[in-house]
Amino acid sequence: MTTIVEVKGLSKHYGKVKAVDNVSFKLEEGKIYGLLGRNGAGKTTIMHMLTAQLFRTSGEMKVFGEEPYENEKVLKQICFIKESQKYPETFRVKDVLNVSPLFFPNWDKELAQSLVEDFRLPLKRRMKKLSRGMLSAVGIVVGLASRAPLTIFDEPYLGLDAVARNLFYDRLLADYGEHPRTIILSTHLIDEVSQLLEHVLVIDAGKLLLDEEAETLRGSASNVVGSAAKVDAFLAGKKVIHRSPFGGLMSATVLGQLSKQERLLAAEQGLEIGPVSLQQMIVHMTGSNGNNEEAAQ
Amino acid sequence: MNRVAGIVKTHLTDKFSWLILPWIILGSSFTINLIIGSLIGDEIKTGGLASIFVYMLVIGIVSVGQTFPFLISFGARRKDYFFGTTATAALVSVGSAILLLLIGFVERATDHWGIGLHFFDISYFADGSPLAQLWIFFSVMMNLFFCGFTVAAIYRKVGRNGLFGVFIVLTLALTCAFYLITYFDNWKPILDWFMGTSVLELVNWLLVSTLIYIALSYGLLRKAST
Repeated sequence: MTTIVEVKGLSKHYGKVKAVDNVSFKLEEGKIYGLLGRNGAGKTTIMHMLTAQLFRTSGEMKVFGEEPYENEKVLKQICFIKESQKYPETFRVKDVLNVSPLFFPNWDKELAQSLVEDFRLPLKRRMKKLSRGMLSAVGIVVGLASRAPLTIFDEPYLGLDAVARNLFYDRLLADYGEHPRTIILSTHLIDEVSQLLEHVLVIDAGKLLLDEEAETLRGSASNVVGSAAKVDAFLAGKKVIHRSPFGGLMSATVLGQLSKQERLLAAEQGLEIGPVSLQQMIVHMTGSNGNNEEAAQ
Repeated sequence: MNRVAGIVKTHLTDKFSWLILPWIILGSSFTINLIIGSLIGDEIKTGGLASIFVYMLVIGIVSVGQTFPFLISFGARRKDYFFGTTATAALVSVGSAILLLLIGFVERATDHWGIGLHFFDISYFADGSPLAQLWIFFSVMMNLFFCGFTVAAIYRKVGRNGLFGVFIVLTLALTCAFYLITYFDNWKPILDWFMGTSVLELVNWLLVSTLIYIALSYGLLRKAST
């Protein structure tokens, strides 16, 4: 597999604040990545640096094998739609769509048109008069129709209703199937996209917390519920990322696959074992007490 | 498609700001002067023409905030943005200069609109050959555009407080310079130099300041984030 993005020890500091702190990862061609984390975790900062819109404090970075800053060959292969994407005030929706092919060589006009119809976008309305959801929809149209080899969506569906969000997922998957490319979805609506993601990167407080195949991740944590004492005994020696006592009961989330034996043991003890969604896992990992729990173990 | 051309096209998508609004402003100034001129029946020399030049300063400042973040996030290089914007300003300045020259001819041919209104055909400014006039119009427009562009580029690079800082330093420097000129009683030779220099020579000096603006704004934008 070809590596499209390679980041080593990437950092961005603002004075004493470490917005991004020594992050390293690789992205491979033709996959859908999820860049997940809480607000202010550093997701957007990383994407800004990848697209040479922001200057890094230190670290190395290669996109399509080259340094992206002022590199036309690299930049024209990227389409990055920001949550706070700015458009010239006088521009109408159709002006944005007319200008886009000048910067995205793979632009598909028909796809753009059909997306505009699906999202019911008013072509003649000025960008600054659009609602938050419509603004997001324009970003989605540009992001999909650009067919850029590296397409990055930063919180692409702010303000979109459930129908429009489903439309986005469907059209993304359909077009991705026909024209494979590398896609990064940055979001905190994790449950909705978890089925789309092939690989997950979790950022918390500027640090890379997790870099794992989604498949591996799905079976890698379980929820154990039962009487507090029995759960505690069962958890001994395991990596627990979350505990919530409830009266005499306890619900805990354990990392790592449970063996058949362990499951039998749990059943004997009257403990219930259930799956953990990607969202729950990330909430526990990045929640304010998640780290403390882990440290206490 | 060439990206510089793409940037020119993006700028000119906003036809109203680049091509129409400056002429609406100039046109209204001209209309008012025409009405006053016909009412008082005296010869009028007015500086209303300055509006279209000042407008270049304004669009130099405004266009960066409107288009830089947008175009950089659409994958344009900073270099392309700079050259594309320069090309746009140059195109608009050449077009405006030609139009102004032509209207100046009309003004002279109609005996200043029949009422002695000197609006486009202003002595000193319009001395010299048509080619020299074109060059003067063009140079002044480009100079003012890049003056505004540099201000906007400083803002992009160092933010609001940085821009304040630059203006404070600039004000201090000018105050000191004025004080020194007064102290050494140098105002007269300076004014004499201006009086003795033709408009064409002045414009050529203006070119030096335009080049400084260009170098500054290019350096700043290359290092600016969106």
